[in-house]
Amino acid sequence: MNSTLPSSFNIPTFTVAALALIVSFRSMILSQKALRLNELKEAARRPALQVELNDTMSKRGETGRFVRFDVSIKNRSDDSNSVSRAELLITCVHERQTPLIIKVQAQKSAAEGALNIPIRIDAHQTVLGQFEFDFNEEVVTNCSIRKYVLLLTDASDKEYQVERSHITEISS
Amino acid sequence: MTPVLIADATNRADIRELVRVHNYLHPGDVECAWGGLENQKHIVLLSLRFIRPVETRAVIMFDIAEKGGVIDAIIQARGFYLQPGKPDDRLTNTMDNPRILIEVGDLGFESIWEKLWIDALTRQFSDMGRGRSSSKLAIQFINEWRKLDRFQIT
Repeated sequence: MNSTLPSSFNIPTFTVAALALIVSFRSMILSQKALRLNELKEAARRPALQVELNDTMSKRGETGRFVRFDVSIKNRSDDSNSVSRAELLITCVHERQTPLIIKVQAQKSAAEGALNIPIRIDAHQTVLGQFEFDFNEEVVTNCSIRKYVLLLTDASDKEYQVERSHITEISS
Repeated sequence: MTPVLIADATNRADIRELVRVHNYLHPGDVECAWGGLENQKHIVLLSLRFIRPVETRAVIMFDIAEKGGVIDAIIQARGFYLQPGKPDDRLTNTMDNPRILIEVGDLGFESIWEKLWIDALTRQFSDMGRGRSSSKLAIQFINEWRKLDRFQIT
């Protein structure tokens, strides 16, 4: 038989090879899609809290100062998370020096709506409540307070913050 | 015996505030690391990263020839008291000044320090003309110093 094809060419072999190529190409596309899907699922499981500040309040006592932050904490992740630390960062300036950040830890409180560490938040759930800070007036004596920041740290050490430059002071 | 380091903090309001504020708040956090300077084997640095109650950093520089005993006391006690002060302050006249206890855990520096101090003391004894016995004298000095460091009046 006279043919232009090389003698080694064989139609069944070519068909199988072409099919194998199509199948492997399809599996490559499928595995890429699966990888993308897994990446999306993984991203959705990453810790993602969203802290919103609803209200703030400050009150002076005889020796101390009481500061309260009303917040809502949303867990936007597909996994549950928890708030493991709550701190009040007070930025203050002493006699024209560089600003200093003083950290005060949230205190345990039995008051209604008070948030006490640790706070577990299930996936796609929201927690509402107040963090309370009570500290000696001496901590901020002779200094000008520039801002208050509520810093929350979750179980994976990720930090979230909300800030206020001024807090309404109510008389005790 | 836990040593007290009186550091010149006349230009470090942050350190003065850190120690002052510490009295009114929860115990703080600090990360410590020992270090040195390239080509200056006689210098030992203690880097302090204060995390709370005030976020700040400080590096204390020690010359082994002058302050080897203090470095050794910090390592043996695994900590020290930091007291901000002025250059001519002494513990005897600043007993009531505020100070904070800083824990310096086992940072893996102990074995390096042992060699550094022996080498530095050997050099010093050698410069004093003690010749071949310098190394032995250095080890004796360290042993005596540590006995003194552990001395307690009961």
